[in-house]
Amino acid sequence: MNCEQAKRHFIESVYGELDTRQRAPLEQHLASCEACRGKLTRLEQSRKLLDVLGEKPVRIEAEAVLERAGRRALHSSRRWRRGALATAAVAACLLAVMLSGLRVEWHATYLVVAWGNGGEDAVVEPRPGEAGIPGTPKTAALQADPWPVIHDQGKRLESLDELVRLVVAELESAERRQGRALGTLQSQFAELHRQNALRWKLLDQDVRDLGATYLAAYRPPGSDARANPSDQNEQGDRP
Amino acid sequence: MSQADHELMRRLREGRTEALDELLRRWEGPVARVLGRLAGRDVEDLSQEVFLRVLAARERYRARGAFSTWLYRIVLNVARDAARRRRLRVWLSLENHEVQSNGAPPAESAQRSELAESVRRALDALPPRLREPLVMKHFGELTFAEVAAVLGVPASTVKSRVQAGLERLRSELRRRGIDERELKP
Repeated sequence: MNCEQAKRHFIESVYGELDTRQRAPLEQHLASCEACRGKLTRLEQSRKLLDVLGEKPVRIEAEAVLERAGRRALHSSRRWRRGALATAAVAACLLAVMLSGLRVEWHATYLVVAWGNGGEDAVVEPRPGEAGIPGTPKTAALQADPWPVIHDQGKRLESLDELVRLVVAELESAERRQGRALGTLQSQFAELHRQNALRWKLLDQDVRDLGATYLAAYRPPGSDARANPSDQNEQGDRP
Repeated sequence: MSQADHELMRRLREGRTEALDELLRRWEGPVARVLGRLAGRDVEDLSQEVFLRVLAARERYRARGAFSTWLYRIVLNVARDAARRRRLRVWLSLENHEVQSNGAPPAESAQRSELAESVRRALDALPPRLREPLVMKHFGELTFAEVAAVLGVPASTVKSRVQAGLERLRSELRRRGIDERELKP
């Protein structure tokens, strides 16, 4: 074994993990090599130096670990809920912005904030050399119509108003038709009810008449005896 | 020993909390010893964090390798996370560099011998790639193969790094003015 080969086994020797097959060749080399012997001794001294470090005893209770686990689980669920709420709020804001068609443009001397889909080309950049009031944008649309977006929206509102009027008129007309139909049905129902009541009245009279006729025509056996107890006594005294 | 640990983990998975108590009694010492050398401070809090992670990972635990390897991997992660948080605090100036390098409170430091304090500082001054295998090997009392499994590097790399760590420790102590005679305990 030479010095290079011996060095590979120093650390195993220091920590007592040297293979038994390597032990004899290493010891043989160390006996003849002072440099390697010195190096190994210094490594062993360094290892022992680590043992001077004191150790502070630590006691961990299972209850403390379990309590901390519970607190962490609670915190985690709260954090998840907060995150979900925040995400929902951001999504709602984004949706609102998208639906409103909000448009913000930052120009050199002015800011455009617009919503809705109208007025896409309403504002144009001032051209170099064109006369204009300093600090105010010179716009092509401004000369023709200072409020194109508003006017466009006004027209749309008028159309919408007209549509609403038509719908209301249609609904009122339909309501009137339905009212008339309902009135007819109601009077028909009242007539039916009257006829039905009359029929019931006649039927009741017929039943009463029939009952009287029946009672007059039919008397059950013994009904006379019960009607006259003195006759019964006379019959009972017979031998 | 590993079989007993596997059995404790199985019981812990079944929700029997007395298994956690037994695991703590078996491992709190070695875990605190390694964490003390890797993180340097808040050892009790970090040890608790280790067992908290053990508890959280009980369902995922598989009794394939040695329990100690699995546990020390958690210890290593906890120590690395603590170091990362401390670097961030230092960067945000919430904690000064002096406190960082002098991990223990002053009263505790005063009680230590000068040599022990120098060794501690020299060990703290080692780069993580040398300190981690050296601490795992020396204070975790693992074999080179086990340290290799914890760190995810070949055993030959662990051996060379542990040796380099011991050599650097000695030169660091000499640089700090420790006499050659004191280096022969």
